[in-house]
Amino acid sequence: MPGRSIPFRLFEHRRIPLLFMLIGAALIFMTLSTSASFDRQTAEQGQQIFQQNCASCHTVGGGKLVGPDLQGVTALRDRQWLQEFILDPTAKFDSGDPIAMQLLTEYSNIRMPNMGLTAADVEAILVFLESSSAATQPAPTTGASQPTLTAPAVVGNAAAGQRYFTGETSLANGGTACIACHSVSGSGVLDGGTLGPDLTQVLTRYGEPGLTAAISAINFPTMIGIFGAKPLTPQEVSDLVAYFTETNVQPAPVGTKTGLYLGIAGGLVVILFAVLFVFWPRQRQSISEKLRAGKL
Amino acid sequence: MNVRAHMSMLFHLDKCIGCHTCSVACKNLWTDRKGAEYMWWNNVETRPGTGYPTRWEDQGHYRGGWELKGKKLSLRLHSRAGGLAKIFYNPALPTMDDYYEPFTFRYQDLFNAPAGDDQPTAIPISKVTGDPLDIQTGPNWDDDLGGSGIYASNDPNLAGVSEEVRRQMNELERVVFNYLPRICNHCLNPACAAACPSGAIYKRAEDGVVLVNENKCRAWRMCVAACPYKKVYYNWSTGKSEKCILCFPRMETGQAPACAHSCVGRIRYMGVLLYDADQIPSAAMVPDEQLVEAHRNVILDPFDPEVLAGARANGTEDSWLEAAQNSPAYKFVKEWGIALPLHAEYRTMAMMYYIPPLSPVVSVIENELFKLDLAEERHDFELFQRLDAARLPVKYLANLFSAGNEQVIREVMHKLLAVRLYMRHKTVRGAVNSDTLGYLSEAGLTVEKAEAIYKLTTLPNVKEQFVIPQYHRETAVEAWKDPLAHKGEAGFGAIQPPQRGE
Repeated sequence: MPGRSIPFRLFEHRRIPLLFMLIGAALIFMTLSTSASFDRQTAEQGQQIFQQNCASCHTVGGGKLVGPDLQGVTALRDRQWLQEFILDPTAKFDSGDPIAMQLLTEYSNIRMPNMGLTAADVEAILVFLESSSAATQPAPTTGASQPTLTAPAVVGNAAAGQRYFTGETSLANGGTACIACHSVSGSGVLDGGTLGPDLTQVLTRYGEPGLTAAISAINFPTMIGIFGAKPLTPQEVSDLVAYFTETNVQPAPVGTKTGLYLGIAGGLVVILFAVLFVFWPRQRQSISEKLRAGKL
Repeated sequence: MNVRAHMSMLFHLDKCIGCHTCSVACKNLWTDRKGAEYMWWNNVETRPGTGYPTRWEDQGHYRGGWELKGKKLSLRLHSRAGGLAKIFYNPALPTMDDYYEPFTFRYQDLFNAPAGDDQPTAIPISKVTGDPLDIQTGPNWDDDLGGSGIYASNDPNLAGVSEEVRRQMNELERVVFNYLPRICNHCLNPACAAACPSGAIYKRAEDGVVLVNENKCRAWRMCVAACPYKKVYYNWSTGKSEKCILCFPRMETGQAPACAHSCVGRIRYMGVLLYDADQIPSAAMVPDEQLVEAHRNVILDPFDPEVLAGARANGTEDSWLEAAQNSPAYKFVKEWGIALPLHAEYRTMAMMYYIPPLSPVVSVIENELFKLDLAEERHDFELFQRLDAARLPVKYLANLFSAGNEQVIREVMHKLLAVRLYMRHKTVRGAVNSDTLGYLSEAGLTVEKAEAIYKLTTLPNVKEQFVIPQYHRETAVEAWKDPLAHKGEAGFGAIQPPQRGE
């Protein structure tokens, strides 16, 4: 009997920790053996993430767009601060961080939106920025991150831009007309939608290169769902920028229209009830009731 | 000529005592189900009164039946396009309050009430909510002129009756009422079938019973509004419309419909009528005053060899032809001409017939005693000639039974009175004088006919009262012909056959 029990010993509970230790050691060895190529791969991933998410507002060595040129930013700022800021810029702005406040003043009060990146994404971007800043000249790949600057210049037409804005002319790739969410003083019914910010003086806030870059590769979290697969054409971008240049001289609207909208909604409800009031009683009273009430 | 057979019921209103046995028999047999609580496929109304549902004859409100527009017959409810536009909004439908809120009584109160000084009572509770109910109306609320100030005086059939007479009808010397039992009229030109968007209502070929195909019914309820008699009901539980089926399962087994079978006054007769389906469109489109005459002309003589040949050619069994020759309906409607359809002006060509009621002569008050306004020596003459002295105004009866044509009513009343005078002289006084025979001939009757009317009115045995032929279900069209081959035969001439059909 004792002899027959030997093959099963390995699975007795006293043997199991040893088994786990063996498997764990094997895993650690495998990880270490791949870590040699880790930094290079992360920099490439970071470049990809940068071009997808950041390139419409930032360059690396290409000058200011909407936001600052990030060449050498890893040397300028504390790495911890950069990590926190890229991960959740809204929190930094809200907490009144002195550097964030200074940036706001410098960049026309435009807050960097929360891009919804993971900590790993942020780490990859930072590795990419560190590697490209370390290079003596701008990384050759960064040229692709500023398409509007290298694209052939297109002359914008403000009237055409207005038609794109109001949706009178459909956008070539099927994107939604701007007026659905944004307003510009003096356009459409009630100046336009209220989901996005007012764009009357958007040019002042973004500057022409910044605005062009921002709408050429639209990367705002709310807008990317709409325009990610349906980007604007260079001609549409130029026309819209020309239109915004024209509207820039108008005063921006003061205050919100919430009261107006509530008033309109309330008015419609009142009309609905008035119509109901006219039809309801006639529908309810039966002939028998009318007879008893002497109304027939 | 396109001869078809029809099972028709006939109501002798002079014999109705308003006991509602028919209604209860029908209720217990067919509508004691969930969703059918408020339905009375058979109901008995007191006239003058508003009936059930309340003022069902007010077609300005309920929009039932047909109306003649120029040379075209159209549903009063809606046109085809109008019906489509308002398919989800049909304000002509009766509401539950127009019928009544069905109720029962909380009988357990009688047993569970705590000891007290008073007798426990079972309070009425709504069958809809289950809550105690203050009953305001019911399907027969105005029975025997109850609440006549509200109900009887709002009878739509009083239209055309002078204010003076209307006022007198509320006085004791003149007050009068009769009963009007009603079932589905199984019309020749049914508005319910015409209004159904699903094509669920059809008229059976062999006996003319109008039925709702519960499989095809899609609860549009256009039939409920379109039926001018309000005899199609919507079952809220099954989500289907349903109606009187003339107890066809009973008739197929040789029994009279439950309402007729249970009638204690034996006012109801059942018999076969042969009719010409080709004449229906033209008969439904004559002016109001000719409607009764045109309706009678559609009914064919079952002794005419040509008619019999036509019926056989359409597959009618010989047993039906024999039943048609013995039919009490044929005798009363066609041979003697004393039975009339209800509200011929609805132009649905109702196939249930009524013998209008006679009523006493108006009384006068002499020495504080009520006395008939009749001179004894001129009794017969006054009764016969002064129809306007009868308590039920002729105009009122004409509105009910002859589309407002008083002449038709006068002819019928004269026949009924002549038979009555003749039999009174024969049985009470022992001899018939020449004056009485004069009344008979003036009414268009012979002694033989008067005797026959008397016998079938008062002394029929059950075989004479209900002449129900053998149904040959084994030869029904669906049993020996391909139903699909007959789909093109839509209706009876009033409806155009489908263009792609034969």
